[in-house]
Amino acid sequence: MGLINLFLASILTQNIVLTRFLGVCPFVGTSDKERNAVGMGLAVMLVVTISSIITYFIHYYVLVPTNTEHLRTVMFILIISSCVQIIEILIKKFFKDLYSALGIYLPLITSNCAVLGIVLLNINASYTFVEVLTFSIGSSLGFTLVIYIFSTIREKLEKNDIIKPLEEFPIALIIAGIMALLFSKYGA
Amino acid sequence: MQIIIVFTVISLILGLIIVFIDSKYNEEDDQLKEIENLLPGINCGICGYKTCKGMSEFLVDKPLEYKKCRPLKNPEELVAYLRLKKILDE
Repeated sequence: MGLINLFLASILTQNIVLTRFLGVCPFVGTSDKERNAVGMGLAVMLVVTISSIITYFIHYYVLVPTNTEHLRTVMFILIISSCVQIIEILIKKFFKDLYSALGIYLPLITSNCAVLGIVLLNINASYTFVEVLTFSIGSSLGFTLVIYIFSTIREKLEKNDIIKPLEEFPIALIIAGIMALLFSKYGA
Repeated sequence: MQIIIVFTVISLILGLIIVFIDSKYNEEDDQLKEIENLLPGINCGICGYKTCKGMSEFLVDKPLEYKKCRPLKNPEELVAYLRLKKILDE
């Protein structure tokens, strides 16, 4: 029961973008088209899952025995950037149109604080391996879900008349704020 | 001391993995590189393709689009402009 609670909590009540406010940059940046948003969300899911598995093992079997836990931030950034680099090369080879759709945003996943946040949260909460998997998959699924909803809203909004000062970017931020308000109700 | 050894070893392993995957799966097109080097490289986005690298990839399919590059029409970029014209106007 605890695992299912954890899974649902990481998607809804403790949503990584709208409740914890991590990873807002790609959230607003790639959500102008539905296809890009889904691609970005799936890429983040892949990166987060692989990185959390690798960082779990590195932390508990390399950093803890050698008493270097305090350097875990640096080590995790190293691992996340390598994972992103490898995934970028593989996506470039096997999914060419997704690669050109994501463009500059794929390497930017490295500096996405959602990825580092999820990895560090795993360690801070001392999850077991199964809980790490549940939390990572759940959080990245929450990220994908929210970015997909946001992209559909934004695509619909493009066709409407909005006053000039609020066009494109400011109205997107306002919508994101309203979504955050709605998601906060889940935790109440 | 332990920290130095740990980090060096892990960085080396990660580096080797990246080099291996890069050599196996990354295909560099020579002509693409040449076109990309000829473009101004400021990533201004005026052409609509956001980055110069992105534009060079589109130039393979639509060669005449290089005319959209506004900085390329500056006087100091004349050599690059003529060279691009020679490669792409065929």
